[in-house]
Formats: sequence, structure tokens, C-alpha cells
Amino acid sequence: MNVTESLRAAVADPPPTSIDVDRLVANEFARARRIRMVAGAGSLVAVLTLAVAVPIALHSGDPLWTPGTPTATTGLRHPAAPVPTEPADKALPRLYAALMPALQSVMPANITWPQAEFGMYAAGDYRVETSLTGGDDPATLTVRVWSAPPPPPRVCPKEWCGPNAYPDGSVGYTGVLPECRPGGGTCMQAELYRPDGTAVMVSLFADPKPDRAVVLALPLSMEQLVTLSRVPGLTLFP
Amino acid sequence: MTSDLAGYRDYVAAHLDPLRRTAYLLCGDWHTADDLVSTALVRLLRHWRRVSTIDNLDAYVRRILLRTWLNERRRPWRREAPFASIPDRGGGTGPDGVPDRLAIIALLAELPPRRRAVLVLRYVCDLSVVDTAAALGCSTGTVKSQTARALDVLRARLLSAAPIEGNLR
Repeated sequence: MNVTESLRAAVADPPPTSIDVDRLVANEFARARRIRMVAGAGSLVAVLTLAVAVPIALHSGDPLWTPGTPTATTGLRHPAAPVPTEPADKALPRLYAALMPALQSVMPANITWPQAEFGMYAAGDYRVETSLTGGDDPATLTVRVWSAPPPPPRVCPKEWCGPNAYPDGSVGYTGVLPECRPGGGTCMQAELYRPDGTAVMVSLFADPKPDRAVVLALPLSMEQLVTLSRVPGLTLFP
Repeated sequence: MTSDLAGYRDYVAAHLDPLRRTAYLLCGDWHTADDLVSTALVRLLRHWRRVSTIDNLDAYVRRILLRTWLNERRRPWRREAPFASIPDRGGGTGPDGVPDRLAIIALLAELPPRRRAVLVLRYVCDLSVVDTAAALGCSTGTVKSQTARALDVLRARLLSAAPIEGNLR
């Protein structure tokens, strides 16, 4: 048997082909166009997503996390909030002078902290941040004073509780979030919204030491944070 | 791109027929053969700008065709059901002295895919043992042994028209 001859004879008279090269090329080009369009649309979506996600991600690292208060997370003043007229060079030392005695009065004796000064984050938005050491875990205390109207009521008794009305017309909110930071840190925050339009936020967060998964105890209690937020001098409209 | 496309069209026009014959001998059905060749030509078109200047373009296209066929066979809907015996299999000799073409195709279909491919590449495409091994991605020893076994089976089937028992894949 001649294998070559037999095999070639088996395909000696092939039927007409159904392959249309023109259609094949056209289909392939159409497919390439579709892929380019999908890729372009995907890139556009990715760019838009990044444009939205990056600012949020940048602000999420900010210790002044404020779930439920968009004006705080964006650092922009709420349209309904009054505009402070006091110059920053006067407001900053005044706020510092108001906060420091209150801070010294509430701080436990074993906690040490540097005398940090207020800084201006944006026009009419002042913040001070200081590290608290000596407790079970290192913690960071942040105080922010800016202008914003009270946010809508928040769910209680879950993480956020409020509003709590005070005799002077202020309303306060409190919140505790376990594992609010990567690695299992704990965050605690008190907010106060004054009738004059000033908003005060006092937040405390602590990261557990590397040999533990959870924070043992925060150096300040929620009541102490509320006390700090209610310091009368922390206002933008003295 | 236009000149690229013209070159592609020229290549396809010159090689379409041999490719179809090779595909038919591999799969045993002209419609499937056209599908295989179409798929191979589309893949060739996608890489035409890069591969049009390589030395042995025919081997490249042949390898695409083989891979396409072997991959197609792995898909569930392409799997052939094994038969205990093959009914109505041709086995006679044609008027020109060569075995009937349908009988040859039927006998090829009884061979395992890679053994079938070895036969087609060596005796229809006139590839050497080394080139066949390169096309199939195996050793030359494997090509030689597969060729010998395939020829033994074909020879035995052509001499005795007895149906084949067992799993034919």
C-alpha cells in the first residue's frame, strides 16, 4: 500500500469551499473594532471610577472620618453653613487657648502629649492633632472646628448615636467604631453642632500594638470627648 | 495595512486548498475542515503583520491548524462516542487501484488524533520526522513510533475488512 498515494487520492476532488476570505477579513476587522470600543469604554469607566474613588480614598485616611457628613469628608463648607469672618491669625491662637486648659483637665495623668497647635486646613476649617502616649496603645486625638449645620439624625444605639440636645441649643452626636482602621484599630468620636453654625469634632483613634489584635483601652472616654467638644471657646463666631 | 492585507489574501489564495485537504484528512468531514481552516486563517490574520515575514510560514499555519483541531476535539460537544464495532465501513479497492477514498478516511478516523496527525503530516504534507515532531510538539522518537503503529493499523485494516473492536479514540 502506498500511504501517500492513498491519502492524496482520498482528497483528490474536494467539494467547493464555503470559506469566504472577504467575509472572514471583514468579520475579523469588525471584531477588532468591537474590542477597541469595549476597551475604550472600559478605560473611560476606569478613569471615571478613579476620579471618584481617589479623592474618597485620600480622605478616608484622614483621622477626621465623618460618616454621614459629606461636608466634613470633602472639607467643603456646607452651602447652608454661615461663613466665619474672623481672620485665621486671630482664630488659631484663640482656639488653642480655649482647647488647651480643657485638654489638660480631662487628660489622665499617665498620658503624655505634645502641645500641638491648631492649623488651618481650609478657610474657616481649623484642626489640631496630637499623639497620646503612655496608655495601653498609642492613640491620636484630633479636634476640628469648622462651620456646618447639624446632620440628619443617626441610628442609635448602633455605631452612631444622636442627636443629643443640650440646654444651650447645641446638638451632639457620638460614635464608636471598632476596627475602623486597617489592622483593627478603634475609633471614637464626638461631634457638636452649635446654634451659631460652628461644628466641633473630637475624634480619637488607637491602633493596637503589633503583638495584639485589638485595642485594650482608649486613653479617653466618650464622656471626655463630649466634654472637649462642648468647650465654649471652640467656636468660629466668638 | 492595505499591502499587509493584500499579502494575506495572496497567501490564503495560494494555500487554501492544501489546508482544506489537510484539515479534511484530520477530521474526516469537509464542513468541519472548512471550519478548522477558517479558524486557523482568522488566527493567522490576527498575527499577520508579525508572522508574514517569518521563514517558514507554512509550518506556522500548519501548527495553528493542528492546534485548532486538537483543541476542538477536547471540547465536550466534539467528543466522539466510542463504538464496539464500526458499521458499514468501506474497505474495497477503487478502479484506479488505490483503496476506496471513503475507506481510507474511515480508517484514518479510527486512529487516535495524534497518530492521525502524524500520518497526514508525514505522508500528505511531506514533512520530515523532525518537522513533524516540531509541528506536534513531541520527540522524533514519538513520531517514529506513532507512524509505525498507524501504518500497522492501516495495513491490517486494509488487508482484512474486519471491524475494529474497542475504543477507537
